[in-house]
Amino acid sequence: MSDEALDPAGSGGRADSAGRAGATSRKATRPTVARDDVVLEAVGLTKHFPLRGLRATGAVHAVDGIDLALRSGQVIALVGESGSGKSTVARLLARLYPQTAGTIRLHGEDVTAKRGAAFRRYARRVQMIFQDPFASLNPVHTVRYTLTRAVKIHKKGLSGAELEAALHALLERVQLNPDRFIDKFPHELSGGQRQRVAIARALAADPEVLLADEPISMLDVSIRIGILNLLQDLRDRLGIAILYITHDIASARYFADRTYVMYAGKPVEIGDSESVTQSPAHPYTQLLVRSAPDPEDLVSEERSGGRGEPPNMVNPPEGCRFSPRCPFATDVCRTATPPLLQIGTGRQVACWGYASRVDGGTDGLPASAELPELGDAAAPVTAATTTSEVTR
Amino acid sequence: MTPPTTQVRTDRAAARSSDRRPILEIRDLAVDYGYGEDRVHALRGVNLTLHEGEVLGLAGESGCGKSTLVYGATRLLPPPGLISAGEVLYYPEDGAEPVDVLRLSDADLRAGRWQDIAVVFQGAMNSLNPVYRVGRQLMDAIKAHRRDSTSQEREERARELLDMVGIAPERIRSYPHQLSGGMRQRVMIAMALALEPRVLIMDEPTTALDVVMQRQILEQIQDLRDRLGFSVIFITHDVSLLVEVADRIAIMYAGEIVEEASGKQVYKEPRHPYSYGLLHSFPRCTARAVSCRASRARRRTCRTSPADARSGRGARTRCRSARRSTRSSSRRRSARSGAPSRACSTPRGTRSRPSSRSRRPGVDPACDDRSRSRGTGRRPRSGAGNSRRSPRTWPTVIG
Repeated sequence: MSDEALDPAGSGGRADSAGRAGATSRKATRPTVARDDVVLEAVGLTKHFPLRGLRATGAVHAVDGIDLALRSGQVIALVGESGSGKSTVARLLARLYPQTAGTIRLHGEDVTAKRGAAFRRYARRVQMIFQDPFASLNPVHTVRYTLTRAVKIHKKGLSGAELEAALHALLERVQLNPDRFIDKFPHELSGGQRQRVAIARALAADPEVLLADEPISMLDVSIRIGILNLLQDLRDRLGIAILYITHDIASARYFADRTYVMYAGKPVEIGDSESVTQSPAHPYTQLLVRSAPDPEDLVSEERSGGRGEPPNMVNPPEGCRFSPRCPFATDVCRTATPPLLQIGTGRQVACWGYASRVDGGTDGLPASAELPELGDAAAPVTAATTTSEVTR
Repeated sequence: MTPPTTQVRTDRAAARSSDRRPILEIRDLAVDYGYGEDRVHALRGVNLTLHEGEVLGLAGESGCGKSTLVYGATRLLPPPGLISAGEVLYYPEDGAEPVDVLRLSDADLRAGRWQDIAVVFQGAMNSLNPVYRVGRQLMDAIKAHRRDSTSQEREERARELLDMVGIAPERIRSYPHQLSGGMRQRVMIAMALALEPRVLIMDEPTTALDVVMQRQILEQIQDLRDRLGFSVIFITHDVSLLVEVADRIAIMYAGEIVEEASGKQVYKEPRHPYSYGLLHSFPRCTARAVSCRASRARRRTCRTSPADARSGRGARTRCRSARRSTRSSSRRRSARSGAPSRACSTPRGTRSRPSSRSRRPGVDPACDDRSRSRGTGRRPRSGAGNSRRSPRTWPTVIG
């Protein structure tokens, strides 16, 4: 029963009852989503935040040209350290602010919604979950109020018993007992329960895409897995496309189908989660994997080799942005930006270290250029790859 | 009825720590929040000893009393927190008689704070004053304790401290907002080390940082510890982190320490069901780890509120292996200081092994499987289903 209440196919009646031309036509054009269809797509997404102040010039290069395709029933993880632009990507996709360049496409159609009815129509299909459940729920309102607001905004005309049933279905969907939790205030809930309420609120819109911005980083280690399992369950049952943003690469491995590793506003490695975590190709991904606490690996006392700070994003380094911290960096890395090189099926890495082993990898480089030697650290390049894909 | 005492092999780290001189000894510390009938027993008779040059990890989930323990022991507890019993013995450097921190006069306490015991507070990123330059904040502590130092000496020392934690000394003139999160964290650590304390208490020092920065800071703390020889109490909810950094780990649950042993022991053979659950509540990055542990992460997570845990063992409401006897009996924990100890009346590995254990309610099927499969990477089937094949089909654990 609860499935029905939020099933995309069964929701046509609600839109009609809203009686608004816009809403109805949206329903009519909304395609039935098959698994693995691209739902939301970003091409060359870029965001620069201009510096403010009297004499300030320049801009923070938060995101510089990322291509991303969210498919229904698939989880994509965006991994990177603080300040690498992960959250900016989510906020751009949620249209919380406009992009500097690039396009966002929902089912192949360019998204231009900024505010008003168009934005609400968009938000109905793309919802966001925020990092801090302690801040994202209004402390003076009960769970019932929080959810009622979301339901009423996104599904006009629900009231009385219908509304109550919808609220109960939402809470059940996030595995909270409706009778117990519906009249609670946020301060009466634990962090995990609050995050579940926040997820329920996002689900009220019956979205096709969930943008989860570090949904578990503020939670206790012992309850994190519960939230991830819940999201996984939603993905499987409702076929929602999920963008999962995290700095914990281990959780990306557990939860996500594909992982994008970001560094300083650019993707440095893309691939299925298993191979990205098990044979990381980019030196930054390797550092990330090494840094994750791992009691299994107590024997190797070696240092992580991590040094330095993330770069200043107002004047990002020339060439590869990781080069100031990279142990393998050569002059090429410091002058030329590496393209995303195809090193396997569905695996791309932006590192000059692989250029010599990928066809066309050295295009555009002077013949005398000294490429970095990754040595043992290099991930295997599979023979199937012949093309290099150059991105902006 | 006496509980079966668990005799555990003491490995090198534990033996070493018991040989060392204690530096801070917490005895039967009890802390309540509130007064009268409604008060909550946040700590119920905690015993803990920190030895010289040791890193003692304190782990547990939010609300279990980790922070209350160290704030109580340093008398930093804000009202309505009230220390209702116990003593905290600090052993001075010159080998004199230990002093009870809880009974020190205000003047003595003030003199000893930061000098003997320094704290890196939770959310250190936000505990710097945003309107003062970090240099001034560093020098403040020195000025308060070293009255006769000149401002030049203090500045010299502040530069030295920044350099020690890997920040360029010129940053002394920066405001906190001009520093990144990791740098602010390191300024806090530098500040705590300003007077060369003998005990450093770190309350979740890396929780808000990303893994790369966390690793850098941990390595730095270890370097500094090796160089300066202070003792550390490291509080976190991430046990796997502790296994790496701590010599000894104490696991807290609902206001008491349920297990205390060397880091390796806690990881290899956790005896308390709660420690086991805490250790296996999240996947790791290594290959074996995901498939084997994830499938076992089926701990119930309704937390015992300290208010509920008035009778019986704290973990009982969530414990899979609780026996009826535990419900009425109170805590039993052998509190020999330094030696590994457990507060569980049915420790893992001591239970009977019925052949149909995976079906039997009340018996943790994982406990015996685990000891057998360890090291081979192979996992016998248990009640959790055959999630070994596909790590993505874990059962939904937590309701």
